[in-house]
Amino acid sequence: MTEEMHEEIKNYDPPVSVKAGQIQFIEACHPPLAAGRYKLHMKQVVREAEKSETNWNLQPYEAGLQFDVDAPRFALDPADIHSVYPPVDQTGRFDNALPHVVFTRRTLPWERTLDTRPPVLGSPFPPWMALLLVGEEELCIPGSEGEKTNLKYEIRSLPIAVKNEDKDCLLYPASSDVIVPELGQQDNPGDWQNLYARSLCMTLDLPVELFRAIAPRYNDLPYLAHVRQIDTGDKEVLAINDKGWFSLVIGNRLPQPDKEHCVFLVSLEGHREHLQESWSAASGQLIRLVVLGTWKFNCGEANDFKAQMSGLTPDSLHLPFVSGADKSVQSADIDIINEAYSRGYTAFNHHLRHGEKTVSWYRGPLVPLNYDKPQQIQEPVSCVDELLRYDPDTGLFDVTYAAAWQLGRLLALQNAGFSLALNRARKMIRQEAERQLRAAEINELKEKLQLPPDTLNLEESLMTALSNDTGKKLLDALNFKPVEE
Amino acid sequence: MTNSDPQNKSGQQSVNLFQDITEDKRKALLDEVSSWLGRLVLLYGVPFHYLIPEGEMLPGNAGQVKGSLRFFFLDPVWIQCLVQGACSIGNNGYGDSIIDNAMNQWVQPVRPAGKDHEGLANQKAASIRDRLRLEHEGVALPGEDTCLDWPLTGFVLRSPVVEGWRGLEVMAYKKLSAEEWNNLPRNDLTEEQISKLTKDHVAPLKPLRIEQLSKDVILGIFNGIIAELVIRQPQEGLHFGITRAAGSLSCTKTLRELGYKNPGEAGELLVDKHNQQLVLPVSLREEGENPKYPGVVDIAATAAAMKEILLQEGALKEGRFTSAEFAVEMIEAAGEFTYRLNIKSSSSSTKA
Repeated sequence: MTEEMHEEIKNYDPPVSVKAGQIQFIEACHPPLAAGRYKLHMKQVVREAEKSETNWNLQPYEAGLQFDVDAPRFALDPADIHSVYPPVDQTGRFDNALPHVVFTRRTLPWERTLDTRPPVLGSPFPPWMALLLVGEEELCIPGSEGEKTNLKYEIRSLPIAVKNEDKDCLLYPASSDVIVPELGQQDNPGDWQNLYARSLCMTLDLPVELFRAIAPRYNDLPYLAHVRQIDTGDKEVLAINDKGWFSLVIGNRLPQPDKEHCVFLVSLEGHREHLQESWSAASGQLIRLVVLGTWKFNCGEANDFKAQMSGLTPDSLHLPFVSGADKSVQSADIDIINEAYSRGYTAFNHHLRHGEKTVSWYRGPLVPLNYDKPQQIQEPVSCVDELLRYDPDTGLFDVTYAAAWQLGRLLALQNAGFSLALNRARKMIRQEAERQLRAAEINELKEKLQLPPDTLNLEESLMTALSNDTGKKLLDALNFKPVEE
Repeated sequence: MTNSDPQNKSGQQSVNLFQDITEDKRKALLDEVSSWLGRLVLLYGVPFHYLIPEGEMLPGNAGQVKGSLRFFFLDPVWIQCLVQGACSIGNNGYGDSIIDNAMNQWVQPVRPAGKDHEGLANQKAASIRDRLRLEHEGVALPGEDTCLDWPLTGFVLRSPVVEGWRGLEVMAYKKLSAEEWNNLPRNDLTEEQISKLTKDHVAPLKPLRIEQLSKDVILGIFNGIIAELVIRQPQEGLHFGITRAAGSLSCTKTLRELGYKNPGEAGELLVDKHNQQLVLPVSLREEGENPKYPGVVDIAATAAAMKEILLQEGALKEGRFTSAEFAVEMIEAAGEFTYRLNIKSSSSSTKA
């Protein structure tokens, strides 16, 4: 993406910032250039000044440049999809909502055009994707007499273009009953075959009648996509967030109660004609669609967001208490166990170093009670066993802090960057301490010798001091005593 | 060494030896180290089983149980041991131990009462989320440095909602004393936060870490004691909803204010001059009793009908009705759940 394009996109930023809980709706974020082939033409004409004597080359200078703007076409990067509604494979009361897909890039629904031609600059154009909601039973292929069969219209992986004419592919169908997207593939098949010879894409052949009944019309499309900006301050920080901007493509069909549904995110590129009210096709024909994504969900009992959340009973984090009903446990033990559980403890089998087996208490860093803030920072221990604690009442060990210490050690060892930084820091602290220690000693010496504190060449000054018959003073200052025999 | 208590002795020495290293110098020397330790304080990298040792502590969605929401305190001693363990690597003996003792005093994120400065890992931990947001979302760092306000608390939620509604919004509030309530600056608060402040005497708590740990588990750690937790459906994923008439295929939509006349009213239900709500029937492509392909909405016709009513009410700007206005009319309000907690800040004694 060029710098200029960034500038363009920045222009979409609204003058107001979105506060928590607010949503800003934008009808569309068209990219500065939709996908396609562009030609840049430059012409420079040199005009002769009046009465010029020089023999100018008056031929205009011309140059051209051809470039392609690319965008997703036959497949999407999974990271482009932020979320879908209704949730994948979930069952719930979704029959009063239109399905939708949330994309992480604000321009995605407008990066292509329906007729593959660049749009008129500055004028709005509809999104190139749509959601088709199909009931599971509508996908069944009826038999020759209309009876039910086990065959279904299914997503198939097809090559986009192949050289072999007998083989079915997206752009050149083997059967004349299949209507394919018109991407201009008839003009120069060789190019297409070279470009896409090895690429596959997901396709779905639907009966024309079904497609016409459920697909949005051309006039519906502009309303089926928009952009939202929200404040992401209360969310997990996801690396994909386009600064809180998301684009959405919405379906045009409501799910039916108590049924299974399939949603297809399809590309409408090359299908512009097929979306017009006036278009019709012979019955029995199939229309071939590029599928960019698909998921299933069920309409069933109340199990949506509200139902799920109101079914929660908040509690503090601990193991469920043991009740007295279990006769194998003595009631005194139950009290001990429940007391430990209420403090967040769990019991684990513990193999001691000497091979003995016992049970030890452990609790994680997330505890149900407010444990006291330590009154002082503990001295580091030199070995993990110093942190094992023995409970004389139960005769069991508490391995909590030993486990924490050991885990910290393991995590640090795993991280080469940290262990290097730690060693570097140690070395630097040592140097710094030594330097300061030396400086302090020297200052002390200077003080005792009554040298000015800014004395730079200490050695020379010492020699001077000695020669000036202050040697005794110096030796006193150094606390020097002759060695006794 | 003949000293009976070498540890204390060395500890004493270390403080004297390094007391001249100024705080700025310490910060510079230990910047990289404390950055990583800051992450450790918020339990980044700690395996799930160390956090939730038993599955029963956080039951999943099965049968009658709809998942679980559990609140916790962060154990400061646990964190202290974790940090000490991390700093124990590469310690080669007595000299290193002196340095390590001093370093431990400097970096530990839990500040005991009476100490005047915050440990280095403390500040780093408090700003991890701000840094992440700067890196990934381009949100500027807040002007002033924050420190951890122990005790820290948080929640773990295990629910299909975590998977199905990606990008859940969680907001925590803390209880305020009368004095804090009076002194709280109100300039930066949103309307929602102000109303909570007036009604419940609670103020927003800074999130330190919000992260989806697995498919259906999300963890939140906040800078203080949670008194109220609000979990809201992600705003970017709010769906287009309609009201179904009982026992029939037809459905309706109640129109909303777009906020062009008065931004404060945006999203509220629109009423006409007789104070009646405006309810619009949603046009379906196949009307009638028993359509072959039910439920297909005639979007263009519905939008045109909406535009007409909104024009009559004078609710549009320059008569424009685009997919943005259509979206405001069609979306369903966010599902929002508030959990009030009664956690006493007074602590209980630790298990001996």
